Amino acid sequence: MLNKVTNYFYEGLSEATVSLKFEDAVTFLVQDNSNVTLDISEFNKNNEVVIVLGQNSIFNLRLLVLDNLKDFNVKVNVPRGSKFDLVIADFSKDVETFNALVNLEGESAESNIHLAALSKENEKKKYSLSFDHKVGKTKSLIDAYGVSKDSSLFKIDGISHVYPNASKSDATQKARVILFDKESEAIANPILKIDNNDIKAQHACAIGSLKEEHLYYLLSRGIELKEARNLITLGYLLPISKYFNEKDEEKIKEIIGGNF
Amino acid sequence: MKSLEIRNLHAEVEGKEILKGVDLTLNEGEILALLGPNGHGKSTLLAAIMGNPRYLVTEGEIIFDGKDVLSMSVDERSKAGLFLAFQNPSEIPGVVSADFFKGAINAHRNNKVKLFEFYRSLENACKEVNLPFDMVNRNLNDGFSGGEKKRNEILQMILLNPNIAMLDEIDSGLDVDAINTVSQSIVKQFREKNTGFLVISHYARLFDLIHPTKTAIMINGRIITVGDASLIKKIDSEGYEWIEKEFGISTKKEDDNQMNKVSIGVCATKEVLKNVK
Repeated sequence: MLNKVTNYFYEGLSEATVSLKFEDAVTFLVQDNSNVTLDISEFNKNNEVVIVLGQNSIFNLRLLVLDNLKDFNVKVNVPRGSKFDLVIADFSKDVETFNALVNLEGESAESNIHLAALSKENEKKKYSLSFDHKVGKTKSLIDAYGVSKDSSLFKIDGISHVYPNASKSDATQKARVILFDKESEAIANPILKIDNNDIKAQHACAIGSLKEEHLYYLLSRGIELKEARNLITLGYLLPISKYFNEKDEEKIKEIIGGNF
Repeated sequence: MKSLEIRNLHAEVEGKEILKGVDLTLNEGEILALLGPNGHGKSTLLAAIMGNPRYLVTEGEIIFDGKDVLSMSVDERSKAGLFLAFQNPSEIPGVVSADFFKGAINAHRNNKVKLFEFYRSLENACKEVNLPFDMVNRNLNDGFSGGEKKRNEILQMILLNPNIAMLDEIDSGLDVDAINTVSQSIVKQFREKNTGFLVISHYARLFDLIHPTKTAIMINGRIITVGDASLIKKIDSEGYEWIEKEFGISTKKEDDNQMNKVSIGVCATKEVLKNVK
């Protein structure tokens, strides 16, 4: 049961940092022709976020998840000519469910979700990322990197639904997960629901342990096994840092460095 | 002077024996051209020396500078002074070249390389092999052309300054200018650092540029002769057929011979089983 809903309004060019710590639910309202970048790194255990974009707007939502986070639900409507980008760097101890539903409801609406997540020990991390392509010329991308250590679970469901009216749309899903240890587990479900023939859709999914030939190459240059494993793994997680501001970028590098 | 001694080396991959008793010695300050028809074990020898986990050494010894190489891990072999330039270097997405180079350099030193020193040596090495310096910010070999990958191998050789460098078809995929560039780096490393080279190539052009001090020929997993650079010219002009007459051996792959026995009306399984002890 939600006790409090907070509304945030944005107009024009703006960058902001918001804490969700003391709010049960928030709504971000963005005016037409605005360009907003929003950073969130403080969360409640349960979070409900709704984003309403104006036309021809850009909204970058960057989540750096470090604390415990039980549930996160974000719902976004992207109208004509607008773009919504969601970047998630998840190094928290406890994300039970993360749901993102993006409605591409206006022509030429676009949305990209970039995810990099580390699961470790007994953590179970589950992500459900959905796009609804409701009209034509809409575009979506899921680009997910996961590293599953110890006996943790990393699960990602990517759901791209292209509706009958959504001609010339483009839906792409990519997921790559490294299983670091024997007990680690990863599940990736790329789901493409296509109700129109005149679209582009693709998905690529790779789950596996570190490639022996990659390790051998690094070892052959004198790099020790542990460091070689770390170097390859860092390569999965570090690229997400480039989407963040300088301060958070450093924080991400520090966290990743400390985990390997 | 450090030397690499290979004695009666046998190695197999996925249960199939490729090396069948290799004897070979290479010293620092020597350039050894390793020749032989395709598929006779040259690359396997280099992989076995470097410790590629796909290859299992079943018999024999590899001694480098008096130490048992076979008891060393792959990284220890590198730190001991051995280097292999791969025929097909791995593309490793996500690993930034500069981070990898720094990690490799630091693995060969007691004290970590200072940033300025690192960038200076990297810049010089890039210039030497004619690779743009911004390449160091790209992911390791990811999206590199064949020629860029080969030059990147030579760049790593320069940075790590090994005692023995093994080059597996370093000239394949290189245009004329790139072969000249790579050759100059090899000669420079040889003259200035006294590095020993074990070089596999199918083309006399590379050998004309780097001037091997000796030549070995490998047939069916064994070194059948070691001589001077004149052997390269002979093979370049006459191929490998003269070896059959001179050494009384077949230059066909032994497996090919085995398959030649099999024809319609012959039980292939029986023919194979004849060779199973």
